[in-house]
Amino acid sequence: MPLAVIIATLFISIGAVDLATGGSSIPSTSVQTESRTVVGEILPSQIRIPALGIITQVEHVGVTEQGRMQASKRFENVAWYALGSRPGSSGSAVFAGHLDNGLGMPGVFAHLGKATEGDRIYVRDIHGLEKVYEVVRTASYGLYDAPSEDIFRTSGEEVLVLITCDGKWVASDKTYDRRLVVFAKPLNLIP
Amino acid sequence: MKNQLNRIFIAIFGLLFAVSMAIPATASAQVTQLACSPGRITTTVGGDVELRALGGGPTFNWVTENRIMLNIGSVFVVDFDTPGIHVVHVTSQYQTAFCVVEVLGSTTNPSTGTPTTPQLPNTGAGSSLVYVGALIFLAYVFSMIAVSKKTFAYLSK
Repeated sequence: MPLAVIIATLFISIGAVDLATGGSSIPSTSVQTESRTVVGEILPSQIRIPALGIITQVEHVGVTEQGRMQASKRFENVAWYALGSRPGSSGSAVFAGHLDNGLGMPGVFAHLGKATEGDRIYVRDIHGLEKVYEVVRTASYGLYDAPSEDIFRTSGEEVLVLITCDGKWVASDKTYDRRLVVFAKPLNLIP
Repeated sequence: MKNQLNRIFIAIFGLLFAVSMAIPATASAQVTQLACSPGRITTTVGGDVELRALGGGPTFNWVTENRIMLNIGSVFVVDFDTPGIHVVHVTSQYQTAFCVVEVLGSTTNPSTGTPTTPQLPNTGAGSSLVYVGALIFLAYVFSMIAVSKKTFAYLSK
């Protein structure tokens, strides 16, 4: 019995059982207060989606040995595919965030499915230079049916892509069976 | 003969004077702070990065997790075959500095050399550890019940 109390206390203290908010808390980090919208590409360090209450740091990632885009090491951060396009350049700037972690805690993109057309996404570099995007559509793809060539394209129209897990957990594959993909286009806010 | 001896004495005196001047000059020479540049650099698997020691010298020891290069120059070219964060240390004159090399996985097909498109990432864990924790907890409960029964049986005797 004492062990049960200890385990329960441990789970609650690290947030695995979020009694206060019903498991809907969204991790956030400190945010710079000043920014400047720019033309041209930037190296992302922070991403912000006010409509979803997301403010988080960006990790630069590559691919795994299995050929998948790496996910962020910290489940409260967002990963940016550093071998692809940068925000502000042609092609897709691809970001991915966790849906949850092994303890059932909500990841940074736990509520990405609530993104709607017109929601704004702000991507900022370490100097406070910012690019602004607007959500244009969302899509859910089967894990093996996603149009990777289009999602990771490095030329053509500029687009921001956000990815997270979706669907059902497949224990044998240790992954979800679908991916939620949000597409956003740049907003030119400079007069 | 006398002139030759004088020349020898002058030469020896000059040599001693030069050495005596050089010793304090060497001893008082400022030891510059050793640094590794660039402090952080990103590359891909198999991609060369050139690291440079600033300060220190004249020789440097470069150490990675699987290589030790002793008494070489201030420039060190290295590559890594695994993605991740790698730290390269450089030591010289009892000082140590380090560079951080972030190695990203390659998107090049090793057989064809052409770029490949990655698959979508795995961005969930499905609360899998909760089930593992629950199983461990249940195992613990059953083992405690078994121990209690044995203890009760022992005390009843």
